[in-house]
Amino acid sequence: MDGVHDVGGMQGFGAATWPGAEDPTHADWELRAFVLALVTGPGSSHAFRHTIERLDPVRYLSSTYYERWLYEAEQALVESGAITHDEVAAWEARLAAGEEPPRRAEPERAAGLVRALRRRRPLEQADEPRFAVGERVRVRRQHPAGHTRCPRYLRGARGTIARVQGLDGVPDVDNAVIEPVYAVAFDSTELWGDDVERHLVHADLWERYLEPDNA
Amino acid sequence: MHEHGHDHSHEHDHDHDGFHRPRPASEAELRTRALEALLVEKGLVSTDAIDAVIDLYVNDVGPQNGAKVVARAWADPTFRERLLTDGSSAIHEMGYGGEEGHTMMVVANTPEVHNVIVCTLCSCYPWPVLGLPPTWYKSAPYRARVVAEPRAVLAEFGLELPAETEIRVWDSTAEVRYLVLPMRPEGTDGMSESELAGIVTRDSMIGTGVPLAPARA
Repeated sequence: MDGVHDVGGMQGFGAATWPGAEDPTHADWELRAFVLALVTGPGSSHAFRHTIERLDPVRYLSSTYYERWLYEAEQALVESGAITHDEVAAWEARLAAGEEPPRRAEPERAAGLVRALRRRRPLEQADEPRFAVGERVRVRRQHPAGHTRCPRYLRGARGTIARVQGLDGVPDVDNAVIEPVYAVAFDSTELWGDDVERHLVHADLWERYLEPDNA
Repeated sequence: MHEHGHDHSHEHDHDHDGFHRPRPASEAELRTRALEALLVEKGLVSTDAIDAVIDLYVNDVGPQNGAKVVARAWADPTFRERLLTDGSSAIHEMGYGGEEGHTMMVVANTPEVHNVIVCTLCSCYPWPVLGLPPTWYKSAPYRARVVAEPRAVLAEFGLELPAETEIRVWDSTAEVRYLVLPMRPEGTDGMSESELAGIVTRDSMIGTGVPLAPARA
């Protein structure tokens, strides 16, 4: 979806760094919210990201990173039917009244989770990619209602295949189809016009986002 | 959707936009504790598993891992070659890999080319080698601007590149994660691999910085 999360090239956000911006986290709850989302989340990273992308745009922009993870953790569990918002609110009231939260220890489960997070699953090689390194391509114009990983600022732009990255599940159909992913290089003037810095932007794009550039 | 929306009542002074600094944590902190309590009560998570995963991302995984990869590439030309050809395997050789780093592409800075990484769609970042991202990496200004005006953004980080240096920005739009291999600084010839790792900064592996100058002997 063409949501407010897709910020490439947007203007007006201000300075790129500021005091305190070097730290990954600023409070203990942020790490706990991060882990709750990570270990209870939906099966795919696409579903995870799409839950966050469906946030109200004003709330998305006014939330911190870990506030979005907290939202994602709760929302995904509510949508899967595992919990309700009212149940979370009820625990808020109990904790605010001074009740101690329950604790549970399952050492094997904990070790299994850490092992799973360390497991390596690199992309498989794409044996018959449609496009070859050096080939000129154009990013298809589209206006998808659901999840996509084709950023708005690249739509319609011409670029060059820089590398065939491998085979991966297509985000737009939540991994139902596997396609080659390509690193595509774009000249900055193709993206932003002639009055900008000259540089190259590379993005990793699924095959269905691309068409041959016949112009 | 607004069952637990923010009411924007603040306990503290608040002189930045929302994404610049967390709001007073009370609401999010209470909601997080409530969600954890509910999930533990239902048996969906266990407390020690949460603690173990936090320990993984706070203590085991971080830029100290990436720094060792860079130092080895500086010290060992054949490792450097493998790292640039198949980053995933070369990094795994050193014991690093996993979530948000399954497929790694390492891009080398040279006197002619400077690389910088970003994720314009969310905040994809190579966790196994760099840990969890700094706040600026996850925030709208960096994500929005570095694809359009990298030279201006790098200058804000104090990195002024020669006009003739070609800048390559890598937007992490799929599941490949990037690591910048910075140039080895002058005057480091006699340094051991672990000494070299000590001058590799996190930002030099994102591309918003360069390694530290070696201490003079």
